[in-house]
Amino acid sequence: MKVTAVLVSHNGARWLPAVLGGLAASTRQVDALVAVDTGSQDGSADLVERATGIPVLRLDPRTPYAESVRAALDSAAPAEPDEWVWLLHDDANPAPTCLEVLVATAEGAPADLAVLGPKLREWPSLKRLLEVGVTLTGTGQRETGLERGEYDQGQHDEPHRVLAVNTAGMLVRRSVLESVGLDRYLPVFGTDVDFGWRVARAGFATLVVPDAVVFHVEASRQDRRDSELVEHPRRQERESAQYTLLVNSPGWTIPFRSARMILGGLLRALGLLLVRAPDEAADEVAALVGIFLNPCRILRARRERAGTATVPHHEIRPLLAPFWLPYRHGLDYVTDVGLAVAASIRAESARRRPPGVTEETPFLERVLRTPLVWVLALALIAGRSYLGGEPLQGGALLPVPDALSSWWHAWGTWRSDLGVGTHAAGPAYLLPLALAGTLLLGNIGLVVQLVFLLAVPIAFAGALHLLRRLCEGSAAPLWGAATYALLPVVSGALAQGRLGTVVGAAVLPWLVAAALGLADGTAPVKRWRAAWRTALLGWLLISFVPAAWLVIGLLALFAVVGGYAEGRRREIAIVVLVPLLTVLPWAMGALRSPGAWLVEAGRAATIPVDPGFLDLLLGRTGGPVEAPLWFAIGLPLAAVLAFLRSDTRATVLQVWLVVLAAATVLAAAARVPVTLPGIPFEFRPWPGFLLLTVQAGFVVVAAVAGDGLLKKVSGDSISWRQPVAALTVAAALVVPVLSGGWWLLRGSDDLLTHTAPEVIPTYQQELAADNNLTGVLRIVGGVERGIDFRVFRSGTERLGQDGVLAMTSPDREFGHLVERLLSDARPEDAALLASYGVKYVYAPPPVAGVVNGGLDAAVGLGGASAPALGSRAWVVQEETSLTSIDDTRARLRPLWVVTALGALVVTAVLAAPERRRRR
Amino acid sequence: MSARRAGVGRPTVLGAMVVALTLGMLTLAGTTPAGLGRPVDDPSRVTLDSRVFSCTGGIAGTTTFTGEVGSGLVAPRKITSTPVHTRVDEAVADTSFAGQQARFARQLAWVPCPEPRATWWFVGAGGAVIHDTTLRITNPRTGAAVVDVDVFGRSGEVEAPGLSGITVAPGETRLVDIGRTAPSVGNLAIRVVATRGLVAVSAADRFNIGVVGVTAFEWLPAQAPPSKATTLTGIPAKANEATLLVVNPGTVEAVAQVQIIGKTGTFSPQSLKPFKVPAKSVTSLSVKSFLDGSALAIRVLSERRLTATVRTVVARDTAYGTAALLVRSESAFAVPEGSGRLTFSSLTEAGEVKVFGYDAKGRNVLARTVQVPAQATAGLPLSARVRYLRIVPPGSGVIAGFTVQTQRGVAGAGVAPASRSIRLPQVGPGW
Repeated sequence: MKVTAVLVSHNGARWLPAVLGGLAASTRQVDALVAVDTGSQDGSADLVERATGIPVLRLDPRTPYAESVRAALDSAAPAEPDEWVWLLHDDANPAPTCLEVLVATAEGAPADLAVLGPKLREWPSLKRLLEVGVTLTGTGQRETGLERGEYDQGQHDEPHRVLAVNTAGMLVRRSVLESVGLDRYLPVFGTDVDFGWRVARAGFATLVVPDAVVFHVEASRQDRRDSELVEHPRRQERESAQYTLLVNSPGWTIPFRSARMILGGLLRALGLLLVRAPDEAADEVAALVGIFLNPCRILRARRERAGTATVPHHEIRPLLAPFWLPYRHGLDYVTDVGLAVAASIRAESARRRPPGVTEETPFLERVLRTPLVWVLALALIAGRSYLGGEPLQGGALLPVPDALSSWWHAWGTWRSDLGVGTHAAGPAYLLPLALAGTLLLGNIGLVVQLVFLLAVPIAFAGALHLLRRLCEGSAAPLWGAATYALLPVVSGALAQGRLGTVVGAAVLPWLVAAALGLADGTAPVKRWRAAWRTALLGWLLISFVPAAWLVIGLLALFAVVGGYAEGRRREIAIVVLVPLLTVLPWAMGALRSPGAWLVEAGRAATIPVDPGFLDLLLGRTGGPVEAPLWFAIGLPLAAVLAFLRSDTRATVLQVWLVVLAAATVLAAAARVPVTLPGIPFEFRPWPGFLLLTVQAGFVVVAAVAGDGLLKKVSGDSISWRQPVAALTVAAALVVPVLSGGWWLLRGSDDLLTHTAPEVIPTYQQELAADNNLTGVLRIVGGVERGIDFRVFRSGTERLGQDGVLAMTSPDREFGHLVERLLSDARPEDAALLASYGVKYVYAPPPVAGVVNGGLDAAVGLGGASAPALGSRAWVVQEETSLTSIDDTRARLRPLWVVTALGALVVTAVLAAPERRRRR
Repeated sequence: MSARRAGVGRPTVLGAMVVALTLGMLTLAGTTPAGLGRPVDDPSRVTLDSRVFSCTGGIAGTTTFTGEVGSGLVAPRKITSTPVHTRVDEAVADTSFAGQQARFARQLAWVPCPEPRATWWFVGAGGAVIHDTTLRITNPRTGAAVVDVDVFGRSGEVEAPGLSGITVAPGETRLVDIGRTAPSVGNLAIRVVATRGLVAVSAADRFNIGVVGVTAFEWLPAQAPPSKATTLTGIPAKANEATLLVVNPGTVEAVAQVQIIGKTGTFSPQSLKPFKVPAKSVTSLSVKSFLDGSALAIRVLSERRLTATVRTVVARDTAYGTAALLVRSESAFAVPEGSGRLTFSSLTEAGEVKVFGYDAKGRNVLARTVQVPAQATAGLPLSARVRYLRIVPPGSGVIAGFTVQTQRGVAGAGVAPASRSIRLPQVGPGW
């Protein structure tokens, strides 16, 4: 038996000396050696020539591996009957006995055994297993059957038949190598699997001989070699594996394989994005695109393979990986991630354990000594009425729509039939709500209920997390967190259904905590991630409270002007600009209505707002369901007196700057009456969140200055400071106590209920639900105060729709139509009304004579049932259609939607913890 | 030492500045901005696409006088049994006018042609042999109307079961003879309420002067809805008889007081003590002594909502004063044939009224500015050549009326706000 070694080198001078050494030390020397070099720049060819003394065949740098082997065989001596070819790479070092073992196996082998492969071990570790034969999964993944980084302990040392072996160290009959041949369309990767598959189809067997060992660097796969043929190793490897699957699988399976590949590829890309591996995700998608944009290559390769097979596909099937293998890998991965997250949570909770609590503390005691548990219990007791039943509504909160799709639609659509047709942008908060609704499997009522129920505990946890980073003691953070978490309660935001402020209160401390990471002077990577985390939380905050962006912008300006931004300009730009991108569809829609930036989530201009100076100073907005003013006197007092403590004065001053920024935006928002296209009067926006930010600042400065105060003051000599400090601390301490007590004991005077007010008769509401052709025109008012009209398209107004309608300019034509109906209706006006999809006209009591008279006299309007005493209703006796409603489309919105989603995904990925990459 | 002090002092000063600025901002934020709640769009009332004048006739020989300031008077048309509807479009709605006139040897009857609306008040009607009123209720609109007619008499509401739920089909006219349907002696007041649709109503009145005297024909003017202050205008300067007729449609007795808006000011005549108007009743009292030949208007004040008229008998003819609303914008109106007097009464401050009169051929024959003293009435002689007028009132508004007194009778009327002979609401999208 003759063994001809073919050594192909390409910029492998780093490993070649060892490889050539290994070859020389081999216990069974090769009978002939053919060396090929594909345009190495590092002197590889000379090195081989010097070591072996034979001339090296020099080829073009872009020569694929298959061509190199072919050229080597062409230049070698003519084939002999029992000649075998030993393929060697410049980065694969055979163990001294490798060839001997392979040859021993080959000599006793049956005629159909054509390919032998060694066991591949990692070089330079030399211990870890790389391959003991390879195969392919149904999704086009190269599968070795080994665990990652598995050590070679002889556990795979049984020779066995496989689909393919790596070309590094492969011993193959020359006749088979020349007749079956390596695929010339595969430049580097995947040639081995494809070759093995075709060898098997040609009726030959491939055997892995684990006693023969080759140490392999996998230089191309690990991108450790300069090569013109390998630019994106991951992508090319993925593409070649998918190519191999498509060109070798039975024809009838191709559509299924393609679908599985595309779907699986996209899911995998998504998964990779979620674990913050955007490059790998891009490679995955690029590989798919590369394969499916080039179907001719597949067809050509399939044509070439046609007729060469002698063995049916089903006999090859056992050599391929089982169909479930990719899913098991996925499950393993998810389990790994889950375990890692659980471990990190465990570590974090151990870090935050209250003083005196150890691992040995009994579970119940540990739970009872956790402040968050108490706050959660308090929130559940105080907000028990929020859960269950019909959708929560009342005050500024509208009921949720019937289906989750309404939120997605309202957020991303370029037009809708709402009112009399609109192309106004949906409010930005619909995206987080829709995402939450999707996570809760469409139970969107629960989303809102949970927001109102858990806002206080989440705000408490966030504030505690933040204040523990700012304070050394444990009492001050606890006081601060409790005071802060109760701010949305005592300001009436919770009971008034102010969704924006409630979510804002829950998000704010987490955002500030993330932003503190920007100050990290040691690790730019941490700063970078902190910027993205702040941007992600900024998106959530700005979606519900657009005015928060103004505060963030103002603070960024302070930072730049004050020199704090030095070396962090890029991070600050991310924090300021990225949230804008994530709310782009709404922001572009709000370009013509800058007032919308001052309006929070929740129905605008519903409850009159007119707070005075004292209200604002003490955290109230002058609306219903507020705690008594005097409860909070201690808070601003403590915030001002915080300046007295010299060692924390710098921090206190910085926080006061934040307070000033919020107060500035608050003043601007309050002084300029806001107008929105869909709201027919000027109004003062609810100042809830900005006020909360001011108060939160007070809480932080008081907590920072109060931290360790007792110890400090007791050490000082007696002066006026001690009594002042004592009084202030006492006044501040009662704030959360009184607020919490008021929350629990104030009774059920919430504006939030589960009962919907009857805006239009129930039967009209039910007919209108999910039916745009049964709109209801509701008319209120009379001669003295004027008449207001509104069109309810699908029953009453729902959460999110108010935001769209507020940004919709009134339809003048429709206004004129209503005017005519109430003054001098034309015979064709009923048909015109019907063409707006209006089936009913409803006037709640008291109905003005002009409304009664006008509508009664209009042709085409007949009397309809109006259950409420003194109300009137008319039915439009014409076939309704939507031909007259506004059909204008915001044509650029899909672009903004894609940009926003893209920005959000990128932000989420970059904000996620780093994924440790393993070989 | 000084360096240390400077180091400590700087944050303190900065802190004081920041606190002061914050408090300043909160003070700013704590004051309500001007304009809060102001409508975004300029509030405008419904502008009608068109106006419909329904000249209903009702008195033999009725002729219509319609036209527009720009294009002049349209050739008069005789009204027979069916009303004449005149529709004018939006562009000229404000400056259009229509009136109907009937002339006999010694009598002149005149009333502006009514436009459809929901509620009508007529005071000074009759339901007896010697004094009878016939309502002409016409529906010029495209939908059916349903009306109720309520009659108030000397001793309360007159039972008239057949006068409720009268359906008036589109384009139809229904006649209601009060003498037949609600026979009653004495002065009556009639309220017509369209419970569905809008109607135009005229009230042709037949009144015997003296027990066996001459029969006078006149239309009762449509009065402003009851209010706590009613101003009557279009009252002849002198009369043989002048009777103030006041109706109280409420369920509680009202005490009314009369004021005269005279040449020099408004005063309450000492001879006219406050008087009672029983609930749902009409009360009358003579005001003849106050008609001294000068221009005047009569104001009836009460804590309850009342409306009224003044019936004057001049020679062999009657005329009725109109409870008019303030005219605040440019208005046009036609006047009957004959000379007379325009009167302008101010309810609050002084102002000037620009008056332009046109003859039958549309030539401008009168252009005057009338100074109206505060809370007084100013008169302007009206030549027989003038057939229609355009007035530009002051911003505070003015109560305008006219009387025409010739050998062939007397007539008077108040001027209704041109574009608002019916009040319509401001309509806008709600929130």
